[in-house]
Amino acid sequence: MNVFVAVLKNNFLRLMEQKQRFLLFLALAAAAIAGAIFFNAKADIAGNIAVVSGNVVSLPSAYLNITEMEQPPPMSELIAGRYDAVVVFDSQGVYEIQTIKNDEFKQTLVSLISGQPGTYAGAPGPRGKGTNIVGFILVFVMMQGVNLMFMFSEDKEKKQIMRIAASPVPFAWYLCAHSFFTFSFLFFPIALMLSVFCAVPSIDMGFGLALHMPLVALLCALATSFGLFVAALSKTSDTSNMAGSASVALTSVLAGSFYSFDKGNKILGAIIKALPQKAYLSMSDSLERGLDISSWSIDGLHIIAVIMAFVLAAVYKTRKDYVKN
Amino acid sequence: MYKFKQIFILDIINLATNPMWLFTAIGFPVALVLVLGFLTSGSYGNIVSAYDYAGVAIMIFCVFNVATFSSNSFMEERIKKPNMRLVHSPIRHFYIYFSKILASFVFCIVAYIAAAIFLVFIAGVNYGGVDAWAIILIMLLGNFFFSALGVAVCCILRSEGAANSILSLLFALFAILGGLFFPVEGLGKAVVAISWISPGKWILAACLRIIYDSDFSMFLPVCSLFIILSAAALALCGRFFKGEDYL
Repeated sequence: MNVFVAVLKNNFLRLMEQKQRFLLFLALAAAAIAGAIFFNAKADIAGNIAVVSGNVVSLPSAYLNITEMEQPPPMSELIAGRYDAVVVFDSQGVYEIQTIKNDEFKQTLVSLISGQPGTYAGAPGPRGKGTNIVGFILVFVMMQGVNLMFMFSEDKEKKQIMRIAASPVPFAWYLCAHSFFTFSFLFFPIALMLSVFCAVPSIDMGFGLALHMPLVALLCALATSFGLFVAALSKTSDTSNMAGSASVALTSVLAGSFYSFDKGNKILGAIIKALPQKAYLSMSDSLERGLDISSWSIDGLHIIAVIMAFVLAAVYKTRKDYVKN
Repeated sequence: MYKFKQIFILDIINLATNPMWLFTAIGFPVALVLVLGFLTSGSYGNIVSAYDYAGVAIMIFCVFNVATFSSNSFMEERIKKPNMRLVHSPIRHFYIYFSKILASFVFCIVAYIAAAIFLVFIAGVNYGGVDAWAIILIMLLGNFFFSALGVAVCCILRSEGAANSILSLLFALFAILGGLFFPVEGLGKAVVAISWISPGKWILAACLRIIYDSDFSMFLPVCSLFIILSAAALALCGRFFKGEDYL
């Protein structure tokens, strides 16, 4: 227990030496939460359409966000996603659709223009606000988890860990203290921020604090275990930071933490399903929809299993590297 | 000049012989473009493919990441001690950090051009055909700026780890806001307005306009911005690089 407290204290002092690491994370996490509250205002719109016509044409606009203009927008704005399609009407009322999207989208658009509402079934059920918020902070929390493990990596890099291994300190306590430290410095700031946001009545957080807290705790546990795992695998803190942030960025984008790839290909679907971030997001989604325990327990178990696997692999690797039996 | 050349060659060798760096510089962009393109390809028709968007956007994200290469090449543990000797040798301090900036710049540009050529052949990414020179020039200037930025932040913070983690978090934010991972323009006016905060957005808009509209209106502004910012970053290096103090 002494070891535990000593490591915590030491870590705290070391982190205070490098406050920027921590302060930037706070700023970004707050920005991410604020961004998420902004971002999903328009999840249920089928497309942004630019309409070019001489006379006034009325289009059913329940699912379409229509911009009328004189000249068709440049191609680059279609590529950038500003407009999903351009509809050009000539004087006879005959129209031509220009889009870079697939044929399915074009068909939907044709039927919407010709006045058959209700045929639109494109968008996957929009994600709830709460899930969006946790999805946005996910990538930052995971990166910070890797980042905060820099003290463990530094111990390895500067060979301090050799001395720790040679001393009568229980190794498990040492790793446990690092993990606990990382976890607390992830969880408490985020929890505090969420409480502040939840306390403002005009902000819609998707679900209440009672649900946000356990979800964030689970996320922080995942981030901590991943950070420990990456730090245990790499020799220096640079490699662990680079490899960790790169893989977090890639896997989180894949898991759809910002943008859901539900219409993507089937082949990668299986790989994506194995990602803990995906399980986390779908668990949060089920919880937000108010589904009962049977629908999200698998996801929860999946995440816990991944956490256990990361921790066990990290402990095994570190023991193998530094503890001689 | 001979002295500078010697340091520079050694810096290049240090970067190019690290398998981890080689993988990150060539493998990472290719993997990210292929995976993202593959994932989003479902919603695209046959005029423009998903790889066209990802190929340009992810390359810009990778240009951001040059800063992590340069900060590593500047302050990595095994580089610090040789640098310490250089500080005490009779050469100008400017050579020490400038050779790191130049080495990361050259290393990354070679790696990224290799990655881009690979992507053109594998996924048919459109880099503008005859206008590709403009895209390459933007990427070159961007590369140089971010390379200088990485070293400048190292000089200011005096810790490579802190510089790296701050920059990578910041770049992740810029990339998301700027639509480098997925298009954000369709998400409403507020989002579009916010997205202009991100430099990624400026570069992406400039590149897309050149590639798809042959519209060079943003070309000169972006290029001159990079030149000015590079000069500023170099000035910061000069201001904050204090010899042995920096280690």
